Amino acid sequence: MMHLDHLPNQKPNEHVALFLRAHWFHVAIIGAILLLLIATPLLIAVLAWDMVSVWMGHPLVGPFLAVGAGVYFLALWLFAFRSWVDYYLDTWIVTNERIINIVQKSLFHRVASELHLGSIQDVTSETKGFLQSLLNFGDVHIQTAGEQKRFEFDNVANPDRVKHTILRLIEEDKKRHPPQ
Amino acid sequence: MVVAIPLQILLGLFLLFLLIYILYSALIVHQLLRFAVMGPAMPLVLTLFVLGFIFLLSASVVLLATYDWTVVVPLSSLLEPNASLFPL
Repeated sequence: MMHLDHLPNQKPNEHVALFLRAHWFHVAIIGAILLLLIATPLLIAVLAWDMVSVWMGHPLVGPFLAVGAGVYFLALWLFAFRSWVDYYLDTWIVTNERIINIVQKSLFHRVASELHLGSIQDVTSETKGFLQSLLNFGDVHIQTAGEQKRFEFDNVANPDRVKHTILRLIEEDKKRHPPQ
Repeated sequence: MVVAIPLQILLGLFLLFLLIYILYSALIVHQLLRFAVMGPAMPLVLTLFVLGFIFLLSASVVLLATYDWTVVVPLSSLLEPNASLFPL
């Protein structure tokens, strides 16, 4: 398990300033999809109960429907858990020295990259649409100098606050490591 | 010769599905415990997932237990011109 006080290659005076995941709205969407996919077949079964009860009582069709229902609901549960784990493992860690970007692309595909604060040229926050404005979440774009590397914090809470914190950390980093 | 399909095959396929399901779940939990930063949501969601799995598995077992799995389906009965899979 990863610990925020024991980051990989941590410097002596390095400390975590921000630890970010996507906004909780992302989890709410997973929950809503799960609810919809559970409720729809149950609703159909209730509405067409006369027909469904005949099928369920049939010695051949009944077992197929029972196994199908078991597989469907179990698979749905696993899909929801897997989606949550994907959400939970996608993290951004901002320290007073660097930014660590960890993206879980699939179960066995994990990308961890980092950027020193001194190489950041531009930080932009972006809130677009009704929901993002209402719930105060959005994207933060981090552009580095020179190379075309760009970090994206997708759907994080308080993007303006995140941007200002990073800009402040960059200023502090410049004072600690003045250009020579 | 009468070709017949034992219904138990379906039960065997369900057990195979459960085996793959449990292995895949174990891999996800392993990845989570290995790479995640511990937060209050993690034990909560893990517990919820296990409880949900136990509930769904129990419901499936209860439902499946109501059927006679020794039934053998003659293939010819399914291939009859007037055979209907879904009785109305």
